[in-house]
Amino acid sequence: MYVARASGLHQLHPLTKVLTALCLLIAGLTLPGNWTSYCITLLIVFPLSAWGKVFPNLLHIVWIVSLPFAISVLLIQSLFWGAGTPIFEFWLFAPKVEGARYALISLGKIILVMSSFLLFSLTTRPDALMIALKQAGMPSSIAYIIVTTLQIVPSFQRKGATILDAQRSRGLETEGNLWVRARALVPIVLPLALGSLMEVEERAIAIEARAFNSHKAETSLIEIPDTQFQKNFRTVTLVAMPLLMIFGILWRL
Amino acid sequence: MFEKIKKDFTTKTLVLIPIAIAINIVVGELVARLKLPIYLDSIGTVLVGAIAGPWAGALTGGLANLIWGLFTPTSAPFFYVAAVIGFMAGLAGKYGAFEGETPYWVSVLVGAVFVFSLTLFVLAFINVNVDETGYATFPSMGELFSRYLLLFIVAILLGGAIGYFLLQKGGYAGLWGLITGVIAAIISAPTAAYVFGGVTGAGTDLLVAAFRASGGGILSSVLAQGSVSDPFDKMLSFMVVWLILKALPARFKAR
Amino acid sequence: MNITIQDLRFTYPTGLDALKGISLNIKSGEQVAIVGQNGAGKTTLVRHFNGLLQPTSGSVIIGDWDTQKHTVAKLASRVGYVFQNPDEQLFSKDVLTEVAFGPKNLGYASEKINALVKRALALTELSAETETNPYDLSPAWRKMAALASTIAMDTPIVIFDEPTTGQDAANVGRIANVIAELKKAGKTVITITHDIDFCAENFERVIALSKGQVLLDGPVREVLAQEEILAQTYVDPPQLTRLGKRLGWPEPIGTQQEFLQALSRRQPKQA
Repeated sequence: MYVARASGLHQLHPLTKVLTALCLLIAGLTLPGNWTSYCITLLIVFPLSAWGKVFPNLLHIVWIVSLPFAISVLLIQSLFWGAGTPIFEFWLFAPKVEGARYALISLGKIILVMSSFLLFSLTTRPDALMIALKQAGMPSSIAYIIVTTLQIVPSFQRKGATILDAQRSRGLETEGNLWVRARALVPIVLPLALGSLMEVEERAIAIEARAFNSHKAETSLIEIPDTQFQKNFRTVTLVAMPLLMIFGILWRL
Repeated sequence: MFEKIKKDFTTKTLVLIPIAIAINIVVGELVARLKLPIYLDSIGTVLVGAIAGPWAGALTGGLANLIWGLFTPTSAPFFYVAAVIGFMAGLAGKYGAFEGETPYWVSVLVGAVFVFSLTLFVLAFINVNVDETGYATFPSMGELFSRYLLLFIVAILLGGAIGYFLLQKGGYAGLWGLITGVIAAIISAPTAAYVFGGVTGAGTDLLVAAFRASGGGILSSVLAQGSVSDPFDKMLSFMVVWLILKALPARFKAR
Repeated sequence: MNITIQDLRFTYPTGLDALKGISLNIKSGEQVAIVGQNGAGKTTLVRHFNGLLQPTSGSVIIGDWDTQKHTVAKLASRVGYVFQNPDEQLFSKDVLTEVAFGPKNLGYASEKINALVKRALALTELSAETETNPYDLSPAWRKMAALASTIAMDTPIVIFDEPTTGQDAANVGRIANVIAELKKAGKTVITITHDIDFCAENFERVIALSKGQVLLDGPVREVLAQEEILAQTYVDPPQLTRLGKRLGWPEPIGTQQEFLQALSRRQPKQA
């Protein structure tokens, strides 16, 4: 996901970016006003991503992922809205203004969720994030899980493809009617699960041999620059998030 | 409490979790490649729950969605649902759902009761009365029974058949899967409805559309969709895990 | 069952031209080894034989079937394929069920399945392990179980992908024995291998690939004697062939037996 660029946003402390993204997300979802999420996306997230020189990348991914959502939510909510003002009437179809409005409001939230998430994942090196999280007190076991998962997924994908090929070569039909395809499931899923469970023991010995259970503080080769201003800013976001949520709930009551 | 949680996390469990998350992702992709109308993207989570207990299962589920959220941001908000699925799998494991074989009559009973309740739920939904002010009233059970008696009999028979042929000797695992699916549907519906406007951009949206068309509100249509597809999906996931554990060699089980 | 390949070209979605026009005929009952450096296109080529890959252009005909017109599962009745890693296919509760999976998929009658499974288990020396969980076997025996599960499908053509990689001498001997038995039964055997000594001992014909094209194709002794050309695809001739050349013997040497014969011809007659 990470896109290397020389920008001020890239140089910020990873936690500053994570907390900013979370704060924007919560603000967009909880603050009153139907169009707040659009305002936050357009006025804050997009300009920030332009500052980080990743605006085109962000827009591209948001476009690809939100398109099916957009089509689905617009069709379903406008066509099946129930009582309301029709936009037009054609045969059985009478999309409602209120439904379309609701769909657009939902779409705004979806776009905000995606773009605030992308804002930090496009501009933050995963290893820098890991080190920052560890320094902030996250257990090294959680860091191990995240890093290892990202490393092994590509090899598991290749493994899955090979298993599919191997079983098809043994005459397993994977095309045809639903029942035929459903029957292919077990011979494909079981080798993947069994083969990888057999590796667990070896991997466990390997990480124990590298002093994984040591309780000494780790040192890191990568320095993550931080400033007092960013530290203060992060404290503000941490206070702001629960306040935003409480405010959002009280407003709606 | 913390001691109990800690007991779930040996080095082996820790090593197992990334593997399980990778299994979630890859099986999800393989199922999509087989063009099956299910997700089956929590097999790894259920596996960890079954092997290493509820807390390890919950951590696996939560992290799986958050990590995968780096690639598809829309899965991240459902991390708590995945965590609950892992936790439930752990409970199922504690109560021995993944061990041994279930008598056929239990499997038949589980299937019949489930399809019966699903039918009741969907029919109640379709026959909901909405008056001019938009206030909805559900029809009474007696009313439904007298109108759809034949349908209910078919549902019970169909459910029994599903239990016999599909659940087979994995009835307990299937039952836990069904319960987990119902819980997952209930707790994911608010997020799906509020954040995502009730849609996922996938095939299951057709179900949401159908429930909306028959007069359901947004939250209840999402809930209805979830109640139809989630229990079935989780039932299959739990059963696949039951099969995996059954196929594990004695060498692995001895640990 | 003959294999006819005409001007086969294959380009991966990444844009890599893996096969650049290959034409071959492999006759029924031939024992063919395919050699060449990594990336020469060996695996890409044999994956076309059972339809796992489809030609970008050109054609692959198995008997009278064009691989483009049949699914992999259908082609499995004619071409068996033994993959490198047995752990990427084993899934049954015991060896017997595992080995019967392939023949069952092909829809054979149960008596035929029983006979085929029994024979395959005997050939791979697994007859005593029918009730063992495949994952309780050692990696070497898991390899044999995977081999048995392909042989039991009784296909006229059997493909081995790097069968000897990572195997000990005893298992290499067992695999060679299986190949010899398949030859006796009139099967076509095609093997990808890096193990040139194994290739020299067990195969009649060698195809050397380099950069997606056929570099050499012919009887094993002749091909393996072309030291300079083989060097282009980073294949060293077998140890005994090199020794024969070093000794200045004109006849090409492939196997141990040939070496011993050549040696005895040269021994000074005892008076």
